[in-house]
Amino acid sequence: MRRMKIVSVMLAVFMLSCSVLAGCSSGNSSNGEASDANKPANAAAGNANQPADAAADNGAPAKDAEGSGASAGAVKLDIIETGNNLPTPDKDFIKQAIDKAIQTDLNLTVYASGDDYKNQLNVRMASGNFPDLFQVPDRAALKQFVDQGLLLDLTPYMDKLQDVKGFIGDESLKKTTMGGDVYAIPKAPNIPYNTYWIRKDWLDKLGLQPPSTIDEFLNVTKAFAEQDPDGNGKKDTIGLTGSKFSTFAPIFGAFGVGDPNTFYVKEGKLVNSLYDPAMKDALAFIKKLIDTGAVDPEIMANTGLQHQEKAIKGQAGIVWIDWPNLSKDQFTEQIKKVNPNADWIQLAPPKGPGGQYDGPFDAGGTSGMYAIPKALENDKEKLQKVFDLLNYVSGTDGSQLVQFGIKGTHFNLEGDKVVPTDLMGKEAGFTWLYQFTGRPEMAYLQTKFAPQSKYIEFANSQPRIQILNGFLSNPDGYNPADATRFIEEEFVKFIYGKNPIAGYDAFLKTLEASMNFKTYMDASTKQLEDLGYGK
Amino acid sequence: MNRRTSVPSAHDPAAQPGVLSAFGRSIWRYKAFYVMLLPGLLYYIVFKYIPMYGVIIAFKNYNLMEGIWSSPWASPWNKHFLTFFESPYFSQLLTNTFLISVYKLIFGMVPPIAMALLLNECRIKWFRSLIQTLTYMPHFLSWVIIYGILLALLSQSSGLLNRWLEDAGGTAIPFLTSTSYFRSILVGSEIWQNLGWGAIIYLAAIAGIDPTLYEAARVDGASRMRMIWHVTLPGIRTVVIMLLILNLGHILDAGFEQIYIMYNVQVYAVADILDTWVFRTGLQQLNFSLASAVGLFKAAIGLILVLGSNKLAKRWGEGIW
Repeated sequence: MRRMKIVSVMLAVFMLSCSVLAGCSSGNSSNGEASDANKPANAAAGNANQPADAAADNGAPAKDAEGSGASAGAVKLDIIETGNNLPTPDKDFIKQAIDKAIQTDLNLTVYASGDDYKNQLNVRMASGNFPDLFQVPDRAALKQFVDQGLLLDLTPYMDKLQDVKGFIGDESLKKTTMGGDVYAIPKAPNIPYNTYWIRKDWLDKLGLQPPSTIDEFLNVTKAFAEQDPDGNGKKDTIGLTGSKFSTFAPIFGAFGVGDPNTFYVKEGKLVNSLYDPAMKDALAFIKKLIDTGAVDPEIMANTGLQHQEKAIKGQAGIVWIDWPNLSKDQFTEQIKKVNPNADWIQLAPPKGPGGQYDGPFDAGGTSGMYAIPKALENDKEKLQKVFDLLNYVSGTDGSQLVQFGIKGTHFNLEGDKVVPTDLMGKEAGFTWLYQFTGRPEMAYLQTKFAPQSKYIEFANSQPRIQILNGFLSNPDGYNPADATRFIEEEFVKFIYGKNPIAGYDAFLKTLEASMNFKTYMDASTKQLEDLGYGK
Repeated sequence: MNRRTSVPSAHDPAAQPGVLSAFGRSIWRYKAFYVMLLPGLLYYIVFKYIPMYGVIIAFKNYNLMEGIWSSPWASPWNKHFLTFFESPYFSQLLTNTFLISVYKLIFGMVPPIAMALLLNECRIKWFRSLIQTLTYMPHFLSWVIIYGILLALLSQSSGLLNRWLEDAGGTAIPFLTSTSYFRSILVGSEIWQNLGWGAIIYLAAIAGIDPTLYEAARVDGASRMRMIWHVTLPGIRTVVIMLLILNLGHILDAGFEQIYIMYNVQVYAVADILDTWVFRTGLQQLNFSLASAVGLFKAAIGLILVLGSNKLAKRWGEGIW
């Protein structure tokens, strides 16, 4: 009898599994990405009271504003972007302040990972569930959206966006112009963050100087891996780590070339790094560097911040990374916890035959751009509110709010100088999420990250190769996914010695023949020449 | 209508009403069953058949603003299929997909059966449930977590296994970044994840075998091994073949999530499959037409394989339908 019971339970499980299997087999694989489509909708549920309360402080009788929001003029705006650490609406004093200032009900949703965000955005666009304002991941995505007719052409509305224009500068709008029309608002120009960071204490222990040429760089890298700089008696350290090809950005720079497949002007001429004659030398040197065995063997597999982790854990002695991820208080704490003597310093780019450049910096790049869906064209009231919002965060008061927090609580003004209070460090860490039009980068960082200001200065003052990829959009018939894969794969083979560098010209030929790269080159050259580069 | 009379009626021009009415009568007679069938049928129509209308975007230049119907037709009609077939990576993608899938199918079939047999023979009840629980737990882990575990064990610079290897005087092995190991890692981790879960189905099948067969075998003096070979295994043959046929339909699904999380540039050559390519080329670039063209291609191959293998199995007397 007992056995029968077991049998029936087993059978039930079995049948269930079968039906699951059958269900899968009849499914269609192409819609697998759609399962999370509804996620963004729920982020700020239950915050309808917020604007009412905020308005109440103002003496306005807005108690009944919740619900539709139409009665008191609080327009609900749906905004999505990448980011993290957004507080819940009841603790979100920036949201409350903006809502109060321009009578809106902001509903901001943020996604921690860029890839995730891209998928979510694509799904929302595909399903017609448009946010009212959203971040566009990159120029390629901007072109796709424009081609699909999803974005509102902002050109006719420019006079309504005077504050924004004044804040970001006319020049910036080039970055989001496509075929003569402006389709998105780029953030104000940003500054470079990345440099090589090196363990000063390891250098001292081995009696070495910070390397100033690429040959010295190679020697130090090698010494870090072989001479046991952490003194634990084991050969368990890595010389250099980083993420993908950016690990070698200053090395490419030392040969005067940009990262793979970047455009720049060299000696008055427009060049793609792949066709730069110095590229071969750069690859040969990188191969030499890797041959020492001192470079992290997993640079190509390091995703996210795995290289940062290796640096913090005391495994690696040199890392190519941005200053926030190694010098912000939370990370210095972690570093000290692993080893109280650890001392990371920034390293100027090593000199090479092509000069001294700390990697590329994209003149056309932005730290973000925001677009409005075409669907909003007919909702004049909402559209006006989006403009109000953009103008507000670009104006003096609004900009200060989204940079530093509430005046009197998080900062005080002494003349023109912003003086942070203790609360700013504690509470205002997330305000950047509302900087839809960016910020005056240097002044902002110096105020908000006062302890890190020397690192900020250093990273900003290094010479960089100015690349122009941010201005490009891909032509039809060119598949960037395939081409990128091919370039990366072949480069990996070159630097790991699987293919001899003598085969570089053959690589370029294949690239042109099978990846339609010629079309891309021609189109890109033309686009850049139209903008006045390389003429 | 009444039963067909033996006298053919002159005023009835159609010769079929008898058949029709027989059909109608049989429906009426089993109406309770048909009513019970209805919800299932509705489910399939609403969620499986109606959405198939969307498949036509594979033959269109799908534009989000214009929607499925008003998007222009692709010219030539098979444009997106051609893009896919003419991609320089087409043959490599297909080979990878096929190989990874077949490896998973072949190497993934025996371990759960063996596991089920072992569990079935185990007479210590608590030990048996312990092992069973332990082995089916991984099924509920996401690939991100499994990749984290693999990284901790197999990473070339910090993995536990490689640390041991180096301490023992060997050199570290690039398990996760070398083309020669990557597929084995994929197949291995998949087997590890699904070992216990797969065994449940076989255990259920074993439990369904008539106990009198074992008694008879025991009376005839059969040893345990003999009983496994002559009673247990033939008893679950139907289930094994059925699962095989169902899995053949998925031969072009080599496991998108797993590979997407685990691969990197260095192993693209052996790891890039149809789904990951579609993700990079189709979905990430809003090229939904291309994505559905590939989906349709995969579905067609899967259908052919399922039908074909069922026919083959029938020849051995074991088909599903």
